[in-house]
Amino acid sequence: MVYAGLNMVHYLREKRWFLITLVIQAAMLLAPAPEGISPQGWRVLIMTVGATILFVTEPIPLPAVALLIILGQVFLLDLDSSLVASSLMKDSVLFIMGSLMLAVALVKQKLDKRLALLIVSITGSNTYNIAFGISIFSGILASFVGEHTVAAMMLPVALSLLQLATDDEDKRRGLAVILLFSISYACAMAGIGTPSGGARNAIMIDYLRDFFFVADDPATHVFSVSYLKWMIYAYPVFLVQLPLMHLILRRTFKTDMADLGPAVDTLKAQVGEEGALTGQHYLAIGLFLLTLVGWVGFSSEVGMGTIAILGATLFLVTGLVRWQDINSGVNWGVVLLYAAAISLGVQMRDTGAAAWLAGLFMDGLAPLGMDRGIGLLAAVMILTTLLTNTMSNGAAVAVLGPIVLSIAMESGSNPLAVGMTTAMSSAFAYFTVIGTPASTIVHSSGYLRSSDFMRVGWRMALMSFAVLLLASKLYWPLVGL
Amino acid sequence: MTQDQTPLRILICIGGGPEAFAGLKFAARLARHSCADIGLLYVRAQDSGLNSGGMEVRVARQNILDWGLELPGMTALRKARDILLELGEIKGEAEWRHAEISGDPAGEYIREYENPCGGTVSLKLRISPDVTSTVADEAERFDADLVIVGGSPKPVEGLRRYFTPKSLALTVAAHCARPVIVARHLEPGHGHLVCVQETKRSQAMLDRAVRYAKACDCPSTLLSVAPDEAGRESAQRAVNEADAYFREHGVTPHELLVEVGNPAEIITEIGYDFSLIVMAESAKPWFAKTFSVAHEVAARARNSVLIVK
Repeated sequence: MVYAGLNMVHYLREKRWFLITLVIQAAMLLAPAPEGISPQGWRVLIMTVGATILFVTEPIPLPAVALLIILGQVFLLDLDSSLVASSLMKDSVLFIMGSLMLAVALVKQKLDKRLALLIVSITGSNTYNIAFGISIFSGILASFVGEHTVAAMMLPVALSLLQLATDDEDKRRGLAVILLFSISYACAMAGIGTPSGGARNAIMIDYLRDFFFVADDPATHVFSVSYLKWMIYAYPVFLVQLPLMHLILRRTFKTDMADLGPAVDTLKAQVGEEGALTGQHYLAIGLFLLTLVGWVGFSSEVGMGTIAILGATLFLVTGLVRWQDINSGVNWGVVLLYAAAISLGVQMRDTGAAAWLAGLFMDGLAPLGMDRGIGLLAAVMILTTLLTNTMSNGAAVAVLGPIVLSIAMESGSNPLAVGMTTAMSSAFAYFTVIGTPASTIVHSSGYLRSSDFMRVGWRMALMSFAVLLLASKLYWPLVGL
Repeated sequence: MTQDQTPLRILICIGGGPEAFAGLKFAARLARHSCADIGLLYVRAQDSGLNSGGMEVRVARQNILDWGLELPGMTALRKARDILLELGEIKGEAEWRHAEISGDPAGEYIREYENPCGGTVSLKLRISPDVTSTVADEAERFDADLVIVGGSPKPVEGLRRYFTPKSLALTVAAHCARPVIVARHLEPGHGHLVCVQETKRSQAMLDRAVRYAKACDCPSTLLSVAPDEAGRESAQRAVNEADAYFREHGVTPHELLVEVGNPAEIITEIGYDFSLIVMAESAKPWFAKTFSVAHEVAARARNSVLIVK
């Protein structure tokens, strides 16, 4: 009896945020819709508020949030179920699905040991050189294949160096913060570099297309952002941040271990035992490069999602990865969640909820002079950074996208610049463990504390703010943005 | 077999912090006297698909294992095992075996050893979305007589207490149905301060307090604090009754103390010289436990506090 009562207490404790969400939604539903928003729009807003709280607090399984969004669209918005179903599958969703499958396939190739060998061969044994080398390799790879892939591949490289370097726990932790943050922050910053760097980019590309692209109107074709165009806008921003990130890490965290000579030698010997690259490795590298060429050269015609699916399919049919590995390594519920969130975003636009919210933000920003131009970009950056530190960056862009694009329309600003700023600043999740996939993965090593993220995060955020604002003011006009 | 003869079952939550590791010495002392079964538990936050961008963190963890590296929970548990090994509480070797306690196919492992007197030492790695609930659940599964959780060595003081999230040790103490030690510098040598009142809960706690004192072979001091002079008589009666109970069960209390004033402050102050402050659980519901004397002492004390359920 006591145990049953205790179970009930635990159940209520675990579900408290779900219950709070229901209470908030019920209160909003019972209240009359505010002036300026349609009853439909108000209901979409209620669903968005609920979904956002559930994204952040996760009291129920995330796929259940997705299913609630689908059910809400049918029962609360009275939409036809076939219409809701068709709104779930977009190129960005295919892309998320395909790139996750590719991520698992790439991690399973065990190329990380070779990568480790390559890095230490170039950098030598100086600790900071190794950290910077890890950042460069992690960053460049993550800009194409997604940060979770690279973080998962590089984590054992760093952990191996740590374990070989010293048995002293304090020294090991001092070294760990530098090496692990070199991976996670490089991955986070790189994720903005190309559309395939992260789900958020694909989501923003879809939103820009959905909101502004009209096939018959050539003036709107600029909103159909190609892979190459995105790289032109975003890649230099990532490249500028990379060395600055390393300098900030060096200034924030000091280590007594300036040289990792013996650890590097042992690592080289261990990796050397693996032998030369096999035919399977070459095939995997070839398929990865082929996918990359597909994204750069053909994604405008067939869609990024199609290329990602093609890449994953090639890995499967050549037997480089088993379906069981992909099936257990990909969280399919997250794919469903993104699909539902994007579908809700479209409803935000269609019902006028996004425009109404945008109006509220504009009213708040106008007295501060931040309702247009560089001020607006700064406001969008801060808003996105705040949200992305409390939930995944993809979810942050899915929630904020329709609102910021509506703000851009209302204020007469360039929606493309505002959209790019939102997607790029969603990478500034430097303060929390859950902000970016790479942070979550390196934190799983057990060496980092949440306070470490706060300690270095604000410096990183200030640097990234400055770089992005300068890029939007000085660089983007040069490349026609 | 009487309750005194039944081996104690002690569950120690290892989170990588120093306080839980220090608590191992205390557990070893109890184990030596009562041939206790010891469970070492590490609870890892569940891999979240959204936080890791849709790719399961287990892919990264699997990669770590493939490199021949240990997962962080395993490392902490191994360190705890090494301490028990040094203390002579473990004999023989054991391998990790996979377990699916709560349905996760990737993350849960168990390793079981024997101790010299025939008891067991088990290392358990569990994953969970809510660490507090999982510790409470494991305490029930393990049928623990005592749960040891490392507390923050520097308690949060002043107004900050009301704005800072409660530490894991304090939330476990509030939610777990088994007796919980919020461990800070838990050295067994300085005796127990058993705090009593003239209430049924306090009287019911005496049985366990005697058992822990015997198992630890630690001197016990009995203390009752009356909030004002009018309550002094009741406090004196509570101490006398506890004294009689202890003596009846073969333990002679080291000292009997009756004080008047703010109970939480006085207990914290006097308790500073002891290894462990022993208190009965509050009768308040879980959400109001923060405002009870037992949980206030657990939050404010600079040494270890045992809340007997």
